[in-house]
Amino acid sequence: MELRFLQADLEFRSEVREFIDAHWPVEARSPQSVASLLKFRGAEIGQRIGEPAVEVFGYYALPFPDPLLSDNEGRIGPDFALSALPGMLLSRSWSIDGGTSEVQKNIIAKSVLGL
Amino acid sequence: MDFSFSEEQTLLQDTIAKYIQNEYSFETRQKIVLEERGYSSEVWKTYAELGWLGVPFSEDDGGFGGTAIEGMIMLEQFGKGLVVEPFLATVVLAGGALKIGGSRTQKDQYLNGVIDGSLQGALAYAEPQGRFNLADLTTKAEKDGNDYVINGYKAVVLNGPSADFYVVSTRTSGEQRDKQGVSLFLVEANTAGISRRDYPTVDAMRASEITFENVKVGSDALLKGNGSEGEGLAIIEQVIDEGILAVGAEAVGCMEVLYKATVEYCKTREQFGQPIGKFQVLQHRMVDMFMEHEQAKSLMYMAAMRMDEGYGDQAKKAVSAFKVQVGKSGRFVGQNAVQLHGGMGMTEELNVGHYFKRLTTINTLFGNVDFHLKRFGEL
Repeated sequence: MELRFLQADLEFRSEVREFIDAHWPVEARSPQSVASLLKFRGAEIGQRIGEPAVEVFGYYALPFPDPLLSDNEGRIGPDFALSALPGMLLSRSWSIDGGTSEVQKNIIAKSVLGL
Repeated sequence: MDFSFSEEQTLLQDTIAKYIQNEYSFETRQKIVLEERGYSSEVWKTYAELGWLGVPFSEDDGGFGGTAIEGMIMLEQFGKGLVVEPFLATVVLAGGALKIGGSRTQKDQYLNGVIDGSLQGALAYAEPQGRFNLADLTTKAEKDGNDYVINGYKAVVLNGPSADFYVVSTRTSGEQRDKQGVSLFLVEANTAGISRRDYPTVDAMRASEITFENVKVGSDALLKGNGSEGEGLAIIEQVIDEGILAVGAEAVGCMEVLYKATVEYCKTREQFGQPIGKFQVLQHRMVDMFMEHEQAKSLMYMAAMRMDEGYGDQAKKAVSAFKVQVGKSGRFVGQNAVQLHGGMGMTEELNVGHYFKRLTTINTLFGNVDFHLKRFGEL
């Protein structure tokens, strides 16, 4: 997706996630199902931010973020470039830890949809 | 179309596959990346002895006259082994620039050393402001009598730390992004006025930031093919397209390893009383991974064949299509291999994350999905 749309898209998704929390009817709620939905969407949004963060830096996403590179010679590449790729890699864990996204959907299937 | 390999091509594939399997395990690779140069000089010597470093060069140039298909075969196998030796930088990029644009004298001076493994090279083409535009150059080469004086800065030069010589893209005339006025120069790494800052990359390669300050080279260092000064863009564009075919083939190799490893893992890892591969959600995901790999592989064959038919718009378009597919498929296969391996997929000990990192940097190298989709549309 083109970068100019990306910020708006991410902002939109974050809003949706917040409003689901606020507006989901009380009778349809169980603590697990709300948690599962928010966890799933949260991981997804976090991961979608991680990918373009790598792409905007082009070649400067490549240098390894060795602390030695932030010495008095200054960083390699623009500010924040060194943390972009490690940030993206870390974001992959958000759909795994605390119950994978697949498990979260199983919970919703059972507890909300009654499947 | 006939996609079957010749006897020699099958032999080349089998030899490298066997070498990777027997001599270049993931554990060996992880030890090699810790060596000072970031690769193994012993392994490099072996490649030279086996003749692999000469495959892409013509017999007149001292090589074996391999086509794009042979290059593709080799790199796909290197990708499976996550090989860190600088085949891309030295043979495909620096060697490729000599192959395409070098004079007889220039080839004699450097190519023998590339082929026998005694010389390392690097292509210094990217600049901080240029992103993937090969013509966006602020590094200048100015004529000074019979010599040229180079001033400027090159970013993320792969194999920069070990290179004995660089092929440097510069501007000899015109404005910053003009297509005309781009000239390539062969520069010895120890020439006065060159300073380097070396570092490892996320995918365990080595690279440098290189500053050129009043670096003087003779007019015999100009790499111009059949053209003249200022017409170097055509050469570098072809070199980069050969580079795309190389890293793309590597990515196809990475994807094959990942989808197969994921299937094996899901057959054995048990949860909720059964192997997780029994769950349909995961089965479908693995089918998608398999299909992504197959699509990328098909476009790899197409791109290699188009390159062998002659370098022109058809070949460029095929290469860009391949790069788009590699970017998309590599991301999907890499992400889902990590996801389906669960916490294990995030660890440094398991090879899965390392393949994912290589696929991620390959997406960036030589232009990402957006860049090549645009190029594909414009050609």
